[in-house]
Amino acid sequence: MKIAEDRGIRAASHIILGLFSIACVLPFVLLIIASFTDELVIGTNGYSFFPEKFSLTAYMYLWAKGAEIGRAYFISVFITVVGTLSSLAISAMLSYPLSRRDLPHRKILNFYVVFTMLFNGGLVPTYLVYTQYFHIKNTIWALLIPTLLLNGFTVMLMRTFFSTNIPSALLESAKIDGAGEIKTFMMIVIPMSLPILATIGLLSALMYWNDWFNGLIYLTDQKLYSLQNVLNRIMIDIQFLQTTNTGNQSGLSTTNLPAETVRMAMAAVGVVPILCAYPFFQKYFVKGIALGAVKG
Amino acid sequence: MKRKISLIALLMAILMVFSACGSGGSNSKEADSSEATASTANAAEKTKAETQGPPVDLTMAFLVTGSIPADLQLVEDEVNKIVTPAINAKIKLMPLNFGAAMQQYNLMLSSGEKLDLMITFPTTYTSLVGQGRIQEIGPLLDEYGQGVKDALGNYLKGSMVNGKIYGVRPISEIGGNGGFVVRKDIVDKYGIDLSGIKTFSDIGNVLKAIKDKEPNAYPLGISSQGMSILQVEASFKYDTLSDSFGVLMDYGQDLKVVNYFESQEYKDKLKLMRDWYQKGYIMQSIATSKEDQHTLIKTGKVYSYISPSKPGIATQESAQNGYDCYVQEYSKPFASTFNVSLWQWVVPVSCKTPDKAVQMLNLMYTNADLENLLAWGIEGKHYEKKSDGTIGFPSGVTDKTSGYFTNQPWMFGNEFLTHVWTGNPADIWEQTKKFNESAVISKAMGFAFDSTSVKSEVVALNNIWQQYRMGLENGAVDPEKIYPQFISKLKAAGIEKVIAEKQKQLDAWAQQNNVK
Amino acid sequence: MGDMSVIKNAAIKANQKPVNLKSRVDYKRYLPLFLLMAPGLIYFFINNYLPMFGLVIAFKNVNFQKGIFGSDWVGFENFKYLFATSDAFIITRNTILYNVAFIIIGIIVQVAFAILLNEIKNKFFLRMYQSLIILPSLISMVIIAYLVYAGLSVDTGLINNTILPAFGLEPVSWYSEPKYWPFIIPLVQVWKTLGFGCIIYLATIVGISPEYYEAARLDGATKWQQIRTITLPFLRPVIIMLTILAIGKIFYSDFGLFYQVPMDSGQLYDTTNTIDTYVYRGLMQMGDIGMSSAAGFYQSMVGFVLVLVSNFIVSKVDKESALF
Repeated sequence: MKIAEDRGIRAASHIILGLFSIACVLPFVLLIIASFTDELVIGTNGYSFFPEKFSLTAYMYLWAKGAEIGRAYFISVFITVVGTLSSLAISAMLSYPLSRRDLPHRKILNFYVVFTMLFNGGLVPTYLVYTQYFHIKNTIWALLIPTLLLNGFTVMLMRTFFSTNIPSALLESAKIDGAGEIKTFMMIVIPMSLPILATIGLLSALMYWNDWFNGLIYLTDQKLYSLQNVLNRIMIDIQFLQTTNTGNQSGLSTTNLPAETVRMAMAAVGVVPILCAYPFFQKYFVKGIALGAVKG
Repeated sequence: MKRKISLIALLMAILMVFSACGSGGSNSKEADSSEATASTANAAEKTKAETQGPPVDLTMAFLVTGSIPADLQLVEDEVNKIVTPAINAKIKLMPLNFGAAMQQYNLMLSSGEKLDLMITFPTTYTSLVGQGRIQEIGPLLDEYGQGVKDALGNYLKGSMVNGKIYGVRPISEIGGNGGFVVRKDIVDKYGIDLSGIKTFSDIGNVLKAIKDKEPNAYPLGISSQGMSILQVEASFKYDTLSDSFGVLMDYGQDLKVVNYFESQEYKDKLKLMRDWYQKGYIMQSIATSKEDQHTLIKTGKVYSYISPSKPGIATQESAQNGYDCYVQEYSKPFASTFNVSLWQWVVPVSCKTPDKAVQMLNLMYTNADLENLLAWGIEGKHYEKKSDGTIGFPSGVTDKTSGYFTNQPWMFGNEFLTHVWTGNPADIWEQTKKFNESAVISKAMGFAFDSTSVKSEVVALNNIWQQYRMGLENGAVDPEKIYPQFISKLKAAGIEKVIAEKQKQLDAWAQQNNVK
Repeated sequence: MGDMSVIKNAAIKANQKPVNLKSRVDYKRYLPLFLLMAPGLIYFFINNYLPMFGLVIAFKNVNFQKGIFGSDWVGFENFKYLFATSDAFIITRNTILYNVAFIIIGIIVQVAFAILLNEIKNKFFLRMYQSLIILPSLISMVIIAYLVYAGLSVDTGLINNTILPAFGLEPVSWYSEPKYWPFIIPLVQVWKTLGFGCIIYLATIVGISPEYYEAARLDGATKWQQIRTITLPFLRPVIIMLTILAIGKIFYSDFGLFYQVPMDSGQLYDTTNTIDTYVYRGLMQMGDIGMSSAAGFYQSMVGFVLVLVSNFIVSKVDKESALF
C-alpha cells in the first residue's frame, strides 16, 4: 500500500518535472538552432526548429574576434572564481553570527542588512564613492567589488538556513567540548551547510558570470572587458542604432554590426560554460550530509 | 534601547562626515573650474606667450561602433605630431561605444573626471546645459575659434541656449529632406515613373502601381525602428521644437506654436495612412515589428521606405539594404535647432583648460591632415588614395581587419576637409555644401525649449505618444475610433500647458533676437 | 503521526535559546563573532550606506556646477509626475498586481517543484531535471524576448503558424491584444525564475536530517503527512523571509520583462506599463536625474514601509521567522 503510494508520487513527479524540463529545454534548443540558421532565412520565416538553410556565419564572426573573446573568457573565468569564493566566505562569515540568537544587537544588525536591500543611493553617488575614494576605475577590482561581492539577499538566505538547519544544541555541545567560536564555525557549521553554500555559490557565480553592468560603467579600457562586456557591447550598439533618431548620418549603419543570429550565438557561447560548471555545484545537493554525518 | 539609539547616532555621524567629504571634494573642484573659466582670457594669453611650457593634456571622447580600434595608439601618436607643435597640447583619444556612451558620459560628467572635449549624444545637448555639466564656450570661440566660426557660419546659432553657445556642431549635411527609398529592380521591372512624386501623398501612386503588379506584396515598410512613418515625415516639414508637443508648422516659418496632433494636416495624414494600410500598401505588422528598415528590404518583406535624404544617400542606403535602390526626393532640405543640435562638440565643466580645448576644436575644423587622421587613420596603413581622388582600403585590408576604421568622417569637425571614401561621387562634399545652402531654415533656429517648469506634463505626454503613435501613425488602427482617445488623453495630460509655456519662451526669445 | 509533531517540536525547542537578558553584554565572549562579521558589515557600509547621500537628489534640481549638495531644493516637485497623470493609476495597479501574482504563484510552484525534485531518487534523472529547469535562469531577458517573439510573432510565429491552425483556430495578433498579457507575463516570469527559486527551497529540504523522515515512516505517516509535518515547517522561515523581501520590492518591476518581452508595443500599455517602464519612457529624452531618483525613492519608501509592517506582523505571530 505504502510502496504503491510512493511509486505513484514518484511517477507523478517524473511526469511533471519531465514536461517542465521539456518546456525549458525546447526554447534553448531553438536558440541554438537559430544561431546556426542563415540570417536571411530568419528574416523571412522567423525562427524554426527546422530551418531551410543552415549557416555558420555567426560563429565565423565570433571566431574572427577570437583573440578578444579569448581574453575576455579568461577574465570572466577569473572574476567568477575569485569573486564567488570571496563572496561565499564573506557572506557565510556575516550570516552565521546573525543567525545566533544570543548575539548582542542582533536585531539592529539584521536591520542593517535588510535596509541595504530597500534603499540605495543611486548610480551616480555609488560611482562617485568608488571612483573618488577607492579609485577602482579601469582596474580589475571594478569587476569584482561593486554590488556583486555581497548582497543582503544571500545573507538573509544563509542566515535563515543556519538558524533552521543547525540545531543550537549542537553548537552548545561543541562549546562544552571546548571548541572556540571560529573553530565551531569552520568545523561544524560549514560542513553542515554545503547545500546552501552550493546554492549561494551558484547564485553568486551566475551573477559574476553574467554581469556586464560594472564593466559598462567602470571600464573605458576594453582590455579588461569580460565576456559579457564584449557581448553586451555589440548588443547595445545594435539596440542604440535601431532605436535612436540619429538623423541621416552615414557610418551609423548596422551593416558593420552582426545581427540576430550572432546574438543567439553569443547567448549560446555565454551559457555553455555555466552549464559545464553546473555539475560541480550539484554534487553538494546530496541528502543526508547534514546532521547524521557530524553527529556520528 | 538607549544603546541602540546611540549606535544609530554614531552611524549617522560617520555617514555625514563621509558625505560631507564627498560634497566638499566636488565643490572645490567646481570652484576650480569656474575660476578657470573666469580667468580664461588671462590664462589664454599666458599660454600664448609661453608655448614652451609642458604640453597640456586633453582627453577627447568620441563615439564608435564595435570594438575599440586596434591601432588607436598609432593614430593618437600621429595626431599629437600635429597638435602638440600647433597648440602645445597632448591629446588622449577616448573612444566610447554608442551603446555605452550615454551611461559613461553621465557618470564621468557627474563625478568631475578628467574630460576636456566630447561629442554629445543625440538630443542630450540642452539638458547637459540645463544641468550645468558643460561650459559656455562662446567667448573662447571669439578668441580662438575663428576657423570654427567661419566653417559653421549661420548654423552656429543652432547651438545657442539662452543666447549663449555651449557647443559646436560637426560640419556635414545639416538637416534633411524627404526621400522615398525603393528597390531599383522593382521600379525598373514594372517601368514605374518616380518623377511624379512631388509630395508625400504622391507616394501612394507608386505604391499602388507596385501593389497592382504584385498583389501579395506589401510595398511600404517602417522608416526606422521605433518611429512611425508620420513621425519621420513630420521631421521634414515642421520644427518640432525639441519634443513635438507644440510645433511650428510649414518649415518653421510662422512663430505660432501649434498642437500638431490637432491640426487638419495631421488628421488628413492619419486618414491617408489608414487608407494605404487597408489597401495593403503598408506592411501589416508595422506597428509591432521589431525589424529595422534595412532588414525588411534585405529579406524581401517590403520594397520601400521613407528616409531623410542628402547627397550620396542612394549609395549609403543601397549598401545597407543589400539591393540597389533609387531615392526620390520630394521636399526641400530643412534645418531646425533640433537637427542642428543633434550632435555637438562640447567642453565639460571638469575641463581646466577650456582655452586649449577650443584651440583643439579650431584645429579640428581647419586642419585637413588632422581631420583625415581622426576620420580615416594613417595613409598607407589604413587607407590609400585611388585614381579618381577617393580613398579606400589598401590591398589586403578589409573593414574587418583594418586597425582603424570608424567610418564616421562627419564626427570629427569639418567633414568637407576629409577624403571621400570610395563608392561615393568624388564631388560629394560640393554637393553637400549646395544642399546645406539650399536648406530652408526654421525661424526658430537657435531657440531651445527649457521644459523644467512643465516636466511632469512632458513625461506624461511622452508616454501617451509612444502608446499611440506606432498604431495610429502607421495606419494600423482605425483613426475614427482611436484618434479621439489619443487627443483627449493628450489634453488631460496637459499638452495645452506645454504649448503655452513654449509660446511664452519663444516670444521672449524672438523679441530678444529680433526675429519676426 | 502524533509522535512526529513531538519530534518536530522538540527540534524547534532545541533551536530556541533564552535570549540573553543580562544588562551588560559580555562583548569579549562575542568578539570572534564580531570579527567574522566585520568584512561584511564594512562592505555594506561602503557599497550601500555611503552612497545614500544621493537620496537627497530626489529633492533637488541638480546642477553639477553647483554640486549635488549645493543645488537648489525643490521639495516634492520631482515626485509630481508620478501621481499627476492619468496613467498613474494604471501603472501603480499593474506593478502591484503583477508582483502579488508573482509572489503567490512563485511560492506555490517553486515549493511544489522543490518537493517533487526531492522525491526523485534516480541520480541520473535528478541531475537531468535540475540541470534543465535551471536553463531559463541563465538566459537574459533580451534573448527571452526574442524567443517569445519566435512563438508569438504575427506572421512567422510558431503559435499562429502551427498550433492554432492545428486546432482550427484563427491567428491572434498577440502584440496588439492587451488582454492576453496578464497571462503571458506571469507565465514567462514563472518559467524563468522557477529553476532557481526551487533550488533555494531544495537546499533547505536536503538539509533536513533524514532522521525525522525515518521516524515518521516508522510511525506509518503517508508522504503527504510527511510533507505537511516535516518539510513545510522547515521551509516556513525561508518562505516567510522570501515573501517579506519580495514585498519590499513590490513597487519595482523587471524592466526586461515588461519592456523587452512585449516588444514595447504601444497597444499593450494598458496591461504592460509599470512604474519602471513609465519612468523610462518619460525620461528617455530628458535624462532628468532628479526625477529618476524621485521614482526610486518613492519605490523604496513604499517597500520600506511594507517591510516594516509585514515584519511587525510576522514577529507577533512567529517570532523566529521575523527578519529583524
